[in-house]
Amino acid sequence: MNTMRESSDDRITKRIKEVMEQYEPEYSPPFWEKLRNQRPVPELRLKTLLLKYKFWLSVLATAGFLIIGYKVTNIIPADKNSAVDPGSSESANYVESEKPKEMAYSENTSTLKHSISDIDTGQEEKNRFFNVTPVQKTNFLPANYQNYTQNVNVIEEMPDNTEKNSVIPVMLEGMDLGYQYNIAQLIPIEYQAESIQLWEDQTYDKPRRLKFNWPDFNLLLAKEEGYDKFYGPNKFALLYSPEIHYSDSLRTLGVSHGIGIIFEGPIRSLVSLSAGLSYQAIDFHKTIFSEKVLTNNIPGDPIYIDSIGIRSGSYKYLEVPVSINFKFLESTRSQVWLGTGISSIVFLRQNYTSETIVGGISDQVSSSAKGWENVLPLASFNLSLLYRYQFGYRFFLQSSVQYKPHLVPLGYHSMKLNRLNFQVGIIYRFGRED
Amino acid sequence: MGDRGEQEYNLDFNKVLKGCSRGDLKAQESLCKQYYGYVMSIALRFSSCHDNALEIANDSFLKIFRKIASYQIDKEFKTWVRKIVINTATDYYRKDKKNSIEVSIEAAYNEPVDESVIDNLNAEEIIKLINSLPVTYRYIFSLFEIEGYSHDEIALQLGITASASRTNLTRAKKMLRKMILINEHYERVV
Repeated sequence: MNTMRESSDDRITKRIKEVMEQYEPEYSPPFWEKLRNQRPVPELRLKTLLLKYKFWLSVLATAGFLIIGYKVTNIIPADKNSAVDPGSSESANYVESEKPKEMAYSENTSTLKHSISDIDTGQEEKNRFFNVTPVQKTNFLPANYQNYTQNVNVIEEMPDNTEKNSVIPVMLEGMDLGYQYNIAQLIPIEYQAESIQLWEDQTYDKPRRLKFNWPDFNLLLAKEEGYDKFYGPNKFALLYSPEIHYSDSLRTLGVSHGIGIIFEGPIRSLVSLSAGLSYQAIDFHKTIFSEKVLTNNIPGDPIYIDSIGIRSGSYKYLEVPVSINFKFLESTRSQVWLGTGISSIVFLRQNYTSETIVGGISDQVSSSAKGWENVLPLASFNLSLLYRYQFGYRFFLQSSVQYKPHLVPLGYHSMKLNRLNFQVGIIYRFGRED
Repeated sequence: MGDRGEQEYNLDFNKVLKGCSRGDLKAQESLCKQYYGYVMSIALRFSSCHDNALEIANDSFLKIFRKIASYQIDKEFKTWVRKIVINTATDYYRKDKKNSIEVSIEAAYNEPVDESVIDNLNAEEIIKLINSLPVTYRYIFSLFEIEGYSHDEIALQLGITASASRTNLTRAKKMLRKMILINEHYERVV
């Protein structure tokens, strides 16, 4: 009896094992709908990226600090003939020359000056003949004079006893004057004044009335650059930005509205760096299918009912665009820029509803995500074309169009949004001129 | 599936795994679709009802999504998933055990069961039988007979002794036989 019972147990177990190993229930879509709302939201991507690339970021930050420190302190590498300012505290190791520094400017040296003046006049004649600007005549200085010069001084530092219309003083080789002057000091004042006049001519002439003139643009691709470092922002823009967006996943076009601010500063005369912050709100409502479905399969007596699928949602987010802009066309008042950059996006609110209406009965699944749950540092790539019109000394009108394809799926529902953004606004220049 | 087909499947599956580790919705949905049947079949062996199995499957998928970054690609994914589902089910066992009532099986039938009855048992009927077992019997039976755990492993997993595992397995089998006989008797009457 026991043996029979054991073999019966074994058969039961064997059968259960056989059946259970092969059995797999069919996929049930409602299971996923429920699971989707509970699934873990990915960690802050910014944090993940920072942790992942912490080494390279720290190297970059260190290099950045060193470059900024170098630029700010304006360190000039020492050369063989480094100049020493006797007035500064660094002159402790300065060995005073036997000859006082006034010597170069004293009346006793008039003979010497005279001889140089003669040389200079001759050169000036040459320059006139070849139509060369006065500044270039410093090139006429012998190489050993140029070696004694440095670029740190300014005109105001010239001693009081320097003659107003002095000509280039000469420092003979081996003569230690104890103090050396900028190459600009070696140019007669009259020529420097001419140069200053030239600058003044280029300053902006304040417009008296607002009148739009079609710009006579100049192509600026070959223009020389004027800056060698970034001085920070000098412009502030307030912009209204309507946006046309296309979702790859929903295959629908939509329109959203937003506002934003931008700070911009030049890094070259034709290149500027800008960073901003904008708020954008997207609402969509899309019928993804609408069809008649058969409910009664009896031949000859078909019954059809309406089946409609609707997806709707509301997204609000902050966007931080960073871009580099290149000015390639310019007229008196108008400028055309090309820009490229990236945008980071932080979602403030995400609501998504999937509704299916069959025969008038609605089945609705809604999901939402809290603010700041989705932070995307590299959300989209931006390509922009900007037009600026200067209508005041410090004011510009700006209009731009930007194409922003997504770099990563956006938000809780992984939308693939490609955006065409328009911006209209006013720019106020609070800093120096470009 | 041919070699090429298998390679394409593996490529796609690797994509799905990568997507899941990034938290990509589509990838997670795809994984859920592919493994729903497998996960549910394991969950059903350990649950008292279909809803309970759904809860186990749900929690298992959440764990899979959360821990997928720690999955080692050179190992069998199904084995990794199975381990997670069994561990999730064990968590439920610990909760269920507190509320369980020990059932006496002294009155279990000692009669052998008709072979045809055993052979005619389908998956749904077997699941119902397993679901009807008391929680400890159900877990020990499933772990030992279906999952292939040893009594020592079961003892470690459930926090009982190996001998208790053996005793409970015997009782579980007795109870199953009893239930099949009742079922057989009921069908005859009907």
